[in-house]
Amino acid sequence: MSKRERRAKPNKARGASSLQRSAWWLVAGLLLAALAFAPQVLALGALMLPTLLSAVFETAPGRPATRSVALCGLAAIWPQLELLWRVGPDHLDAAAAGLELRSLAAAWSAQAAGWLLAEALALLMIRLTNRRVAAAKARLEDRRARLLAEWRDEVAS
Amino acid sequence: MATADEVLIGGGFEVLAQQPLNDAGGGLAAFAVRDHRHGRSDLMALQVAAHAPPRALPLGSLGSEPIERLLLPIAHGRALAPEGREAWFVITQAPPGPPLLSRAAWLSAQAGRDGFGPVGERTLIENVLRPAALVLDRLAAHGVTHRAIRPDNVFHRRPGEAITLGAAWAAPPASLQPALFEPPYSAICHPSGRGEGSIADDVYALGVLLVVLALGEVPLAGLAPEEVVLRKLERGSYAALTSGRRLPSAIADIARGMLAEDPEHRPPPVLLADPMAARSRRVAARPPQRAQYPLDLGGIPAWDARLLAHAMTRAPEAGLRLLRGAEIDHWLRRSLGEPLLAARIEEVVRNAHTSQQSDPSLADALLLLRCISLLDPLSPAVWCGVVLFPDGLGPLAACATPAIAAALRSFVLNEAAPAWAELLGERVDEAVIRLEARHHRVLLQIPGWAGGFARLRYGLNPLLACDSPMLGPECVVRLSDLLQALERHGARQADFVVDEQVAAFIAARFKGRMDSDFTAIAQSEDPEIDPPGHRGLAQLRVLARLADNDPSRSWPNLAACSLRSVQAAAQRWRSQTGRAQVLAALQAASGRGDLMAMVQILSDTGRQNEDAQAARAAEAALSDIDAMLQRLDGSSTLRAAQARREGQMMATALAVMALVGVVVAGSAAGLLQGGAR
Repeated sequence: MSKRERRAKPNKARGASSLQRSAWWLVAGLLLAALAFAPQVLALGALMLPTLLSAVFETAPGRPATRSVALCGLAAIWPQLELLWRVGPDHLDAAAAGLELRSLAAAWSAQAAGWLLAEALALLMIRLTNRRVAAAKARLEDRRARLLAEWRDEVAS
Repeated sequence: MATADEVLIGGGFEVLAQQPLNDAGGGLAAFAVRDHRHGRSDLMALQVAAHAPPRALPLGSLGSEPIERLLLPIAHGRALAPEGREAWFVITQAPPGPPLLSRAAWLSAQAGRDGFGPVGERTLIENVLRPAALVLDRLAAHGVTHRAIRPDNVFHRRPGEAITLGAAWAAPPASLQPALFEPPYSAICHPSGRGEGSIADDVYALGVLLVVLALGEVPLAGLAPEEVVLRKLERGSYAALTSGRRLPSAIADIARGMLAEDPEHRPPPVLLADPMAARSRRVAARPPQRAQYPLDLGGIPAWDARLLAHAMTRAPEAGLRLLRGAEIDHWLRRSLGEPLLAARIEEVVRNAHTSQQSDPSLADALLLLRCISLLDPLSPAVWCGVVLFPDGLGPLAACATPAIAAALRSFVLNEAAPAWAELLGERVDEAVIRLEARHHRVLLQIPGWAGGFARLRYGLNPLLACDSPMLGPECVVRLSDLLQALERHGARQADFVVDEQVAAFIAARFKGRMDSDFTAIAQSEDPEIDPPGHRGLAQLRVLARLADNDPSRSWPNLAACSLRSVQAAAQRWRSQTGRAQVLAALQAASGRGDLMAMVQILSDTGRQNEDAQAARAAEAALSDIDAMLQRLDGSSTLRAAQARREGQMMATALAVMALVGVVVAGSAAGLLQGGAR
């Protein structure tokens, strides 16, 4: 092992451990923030529960459906978010705002709509693509048949 | 059959087949002729027998200048014969009167049943010898021989008048001559293989005629031709003919010279025109050396070398046995006293033993040919049982049976003629014979129907009629008549009208080479090698080239049969549309009877190349289409995943737009509320 390699290995190990340490600090910071704003986080979690479930259950890379669900959910709870922003540290008001049944229904419905939109558009695109391919295949088959009619067994197919 | 215009020979002579002229043809059928041009009544038509072509040389070189007391040829062509088929006819002057002996009287006299009374010396000299000699002299000046001087072909207006020599142009030279009127070396040949001969042979025949007329009967009557020849060889021609009887002295003197065994010893015709000079002419000919005891060969006692050569001709097997056993060598040395000849014979036999000839029968034939030529320098070529002079090869080939044809084929392939000529010294032109023999061999060796024996046959006989059954009853001698006959008969019988005989006929007569086409027609089509319609197209090309000589005519029947045989050639176009267009064009050209147009359609290489290019393009296009279809079929899962991703991206985009809309609407509402406050 060269001197440089011997020197590099501790550096690399040192970098990885510092990153881990940073991540731990971040998680710890978030946990502290969540504890500090526990009612708001709870309300937000309740409102965005379908998004969290979708994120857990969707396995497709990039979780495209979850993106739609989340964005629709955000669009639906935007007034509540503004409210939570405004009420500030008043935890109980925040929790009440988050757990209000109408808000909850609207948020969940919007997220369901987001999921439906993602699935419906995917199915639509698949259907459209299949139709386009079938048309192309038909054109090719037709041309092939015309060529064979003209040349019969004179050309190797 | 030929049209009314074509029936007129030379454009003006009509053969009246219902009016035969008895005893006018000297053995050939003769008919009256109507001259539509000049109204001449002194003409007759001689019918050419099948496989016995007329003589092209005299027909081409005589007639331009009148020769008195000779029935000259005037024209020749085809006409309807009495038997309902067409035949070739030679138009000549009609004889001035009856023949010296009618055919019936001649046959009767030949059989020894009747005599006809001797003719006086003066009459013979003035009315027979002198006019005939003058005619022969004129013929010699033209380089032509007569070879048909015999009592039934020599005519006079009435007894006591000068004779007229009959026509000798409508049959091969000397083919109708009895053995009596031919020198032994010519008489032993096949009648059609005697060749043109020389004017000395005509002098010999005239000498025999003088003897016959002087005797008032036919000598050696009732004998077979072989016996006649043998008598002449044993005793000499003059002694054999006269058999010790006395002739008028002048006739005896002249006839003795005319009947000399060696043609070089016979007086020329110009000398015979002056009988006194001819009578006084003496040739110091060495009499043949006679042996002390004869050599018996095949029942013939050979007393001299010529008789031995003749015996070997008639009994070749026995001759070869004696040659190999050296009996002939001993006989030549000890009995005949010819050591030089014996040494030459011995050398030839020794060379034959050491020769590399693979076929022993050919080695024997060559040995026999050489030995006979050495023993008798006058003898014709003897080859595998056939006796001929090389210039008689053509007429003999014309009438050859399969056995004779095989012998002649071998004669030509082994160049026997030069082998015969090289031993004869200055008697023949060896260089010319060698050159001709090589040419004949080349013709025989051309592969396919353009060569072979049939080609040789037509090549050597420019006036031989084509033997093909495709011509129906028509007699086709000229190439220009061939297509018309095929149009009228062959094209109605079969799709392929060019058979072996027609091909050989065209190859011999056409000025241009079509060998590859004839080879293609001769072979059966091999689909692995030959393109479709190969044979049919080859035949069409041949017919079209012939038709090109007369572009104004159309050939609907030939075009129709050609269309049937070339339809397969349309498959050379790979495109269905191209094929349909070619077939339509062919049918249109066939309807017009335009053979050349049909060839041009099928030989259009530009269109064929375009078709081939289009086929290649179609192949490439098909290959691309198949690849694309395969790709489309194989990528459905990926394509669905991609479509799904796109749909979800669109959903994300719509959700973003909704979010932005809500945010913007919320901000606008907040601003409005703030403004209101």
